Amino acid sequence: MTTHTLHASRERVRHSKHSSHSLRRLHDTQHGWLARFAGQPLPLLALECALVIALLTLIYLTQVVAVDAANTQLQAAQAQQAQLQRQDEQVHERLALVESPAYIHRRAIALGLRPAAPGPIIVIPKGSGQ
Amino acid sequence: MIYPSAELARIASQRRRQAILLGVFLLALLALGGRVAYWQIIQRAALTARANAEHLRAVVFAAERGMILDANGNILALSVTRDLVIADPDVIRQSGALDTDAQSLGLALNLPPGLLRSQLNIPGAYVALRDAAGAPMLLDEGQRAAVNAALANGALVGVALYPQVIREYPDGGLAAQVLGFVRASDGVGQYGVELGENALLAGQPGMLLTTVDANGDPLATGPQQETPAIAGANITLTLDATIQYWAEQGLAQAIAQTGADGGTVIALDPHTGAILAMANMPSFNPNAYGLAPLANLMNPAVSAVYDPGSVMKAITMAAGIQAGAITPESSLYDNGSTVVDGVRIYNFGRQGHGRENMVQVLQYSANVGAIWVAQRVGLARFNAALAAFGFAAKTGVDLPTESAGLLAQPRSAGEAALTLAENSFGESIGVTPLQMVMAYAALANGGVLMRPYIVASATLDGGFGQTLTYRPEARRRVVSAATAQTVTQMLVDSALVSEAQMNLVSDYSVAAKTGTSTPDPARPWLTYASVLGYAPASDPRVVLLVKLNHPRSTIFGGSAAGPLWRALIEQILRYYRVPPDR
Repeated sequence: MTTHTLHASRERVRHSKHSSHSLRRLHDTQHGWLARFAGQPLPLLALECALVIALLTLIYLTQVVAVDAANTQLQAAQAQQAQLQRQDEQVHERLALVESPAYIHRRAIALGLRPAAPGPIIVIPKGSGQ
Repeated sequence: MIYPSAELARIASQRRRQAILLGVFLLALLALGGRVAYWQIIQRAALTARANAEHLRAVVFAAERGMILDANGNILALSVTRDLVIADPDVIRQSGALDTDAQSLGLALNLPPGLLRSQLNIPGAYVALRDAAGAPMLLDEGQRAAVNAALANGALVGVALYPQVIREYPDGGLAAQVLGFVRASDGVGQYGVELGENALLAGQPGMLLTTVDANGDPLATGPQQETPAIAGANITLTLDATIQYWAEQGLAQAIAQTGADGGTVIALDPHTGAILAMANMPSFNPNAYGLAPLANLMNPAVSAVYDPGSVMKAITMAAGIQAGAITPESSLYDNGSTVVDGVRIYNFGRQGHGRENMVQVLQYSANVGAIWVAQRVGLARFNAALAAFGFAAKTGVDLPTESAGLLAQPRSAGEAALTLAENSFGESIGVTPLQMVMAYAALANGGVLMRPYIVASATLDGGFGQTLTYRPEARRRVVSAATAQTVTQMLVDSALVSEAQMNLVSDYSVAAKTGTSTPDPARPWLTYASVLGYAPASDPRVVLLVKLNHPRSTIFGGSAAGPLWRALIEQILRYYRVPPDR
């Protein structure tokens, strides 16, 4: 066997080993966990799936409910704000009315009051002790 | 394992094909990547804008309009929310709820169901209910609660409440021409302070940029960007609602008593130029401005020009004393008339007063004496004095539609002489009531003319922000303090014994002059009758003008306007607790 032939044979052997190693690794990767999962009894598998779906649904529903609750609170707060704003306006309006000179005059007349004749002005000097 | 050469060739061929396929995929990937980069980077802005246009909405909401307050903080104007009843007649008809809706609304609104039924049955899909007078029905609190209850009970189909912000003036017509009003259609101030200070009162509208659903309704949970509305400023005026009320009540009474067509009252602080009251008749109710004649919306105190008459004689005296042409003791012989440029001018009643000094010229309100003074001052200096006192120029008051007044423009020396003579007793010159008040205020303020103003301060952001305060502003010195003091004393002395009858004012010394002008020589009974003056003369607190237009029962300033002037000045000085000086 010449040196060239020997070298070619070694090369083929190395290549062959490398190929079989890669195939095994691929087999393990593709079928290892799946095989373990698939190996479980069917009811258990179904239960696990149902649990996962239920968990996901729960998370989703929790978020939806939280958003709805926040929306409701927001709407209630906005309605309350509008109501308070209205009340504030009404208070100002009422205040404006009762402070109006025309209203005071009318009320005074209605209560039987009449303008008094202006009396004499008495000026008390500062420090007079009176 | 040893591969035969044919197998090796096949593998090599496969690898070539794989390389080609890989190349094709890479090219396709590159093309896709390029396309993605084109849309994501180059077209990003345009696509974002298109997307935003579809799922973002900008909702603009108006800012709350600020209040207008008087000097004591009493509310003169405010914005309130009222509800309109709106309905969809199509829905009501389809539901067969016409009669029940009319009955329920009639009960809630205390209106005949027939009136409502006809409105709910109009063709179309929208109606806003109107009252019996045809005005849009804005519900009060009781009506609103009743309609809300009916809606909650399901007694109303196709009916809803629609909130609407309206401007309300709780005092009705009080200071209406000063305040103006807000146009309901667009919320913009018209006339008066509402117009003059509209930018401050209106505030800045806000904007909500929000994500919307397929129906265009905002999503509360979507991204939102809100620019809050900035509420309008609360404007505080120098006006005192109590004095304003007295002025309006007194003016209405004086008009009723004298049969006048109208009138004006102005009260002002001479040291600051702050307007304390500005009343006019006829006026209007800003809560129902649509019913008022257009002429009533204007503020004649700043925009109407009139011949002031003899109240101008105090200004003539001031010009004479300031120019050194006369002293209070200067005298002339008054035979009741004088001739200027061929025109004979008479005293009122053609009455001569013999020898009279300058105080007596004021006391008798002698036209001949006033002409004598003006002629001694001379045309140029007299016109300069008129300009200095602010005639024929706007006062600069912070109210819209102010008039500058009118001065005659003589075309010859003869006309100029005649104009000078007539101007000396307040004829052939057009002034606004406010200009006349300011001229007297300058005398009361030691000769310094102030700028009149009515807005005292503005508190931004609905009364919660920064407060801008407007300071009194001196415009110029018109006459020396000594001249002002001398003229004041002349007015005090003359008013005590003249038709002004200021001796009737108890406790206070008064510097005042009456005026009776007859602008139409063909109808001399149509006069402007006025009294203008200030008190206490020792330290003036208030300048007051009472002017009546065309009084009938008496046409003279003293007898027509005098009683109201005297009553008001006493009331105001007592209200301000001013110590007596007499």
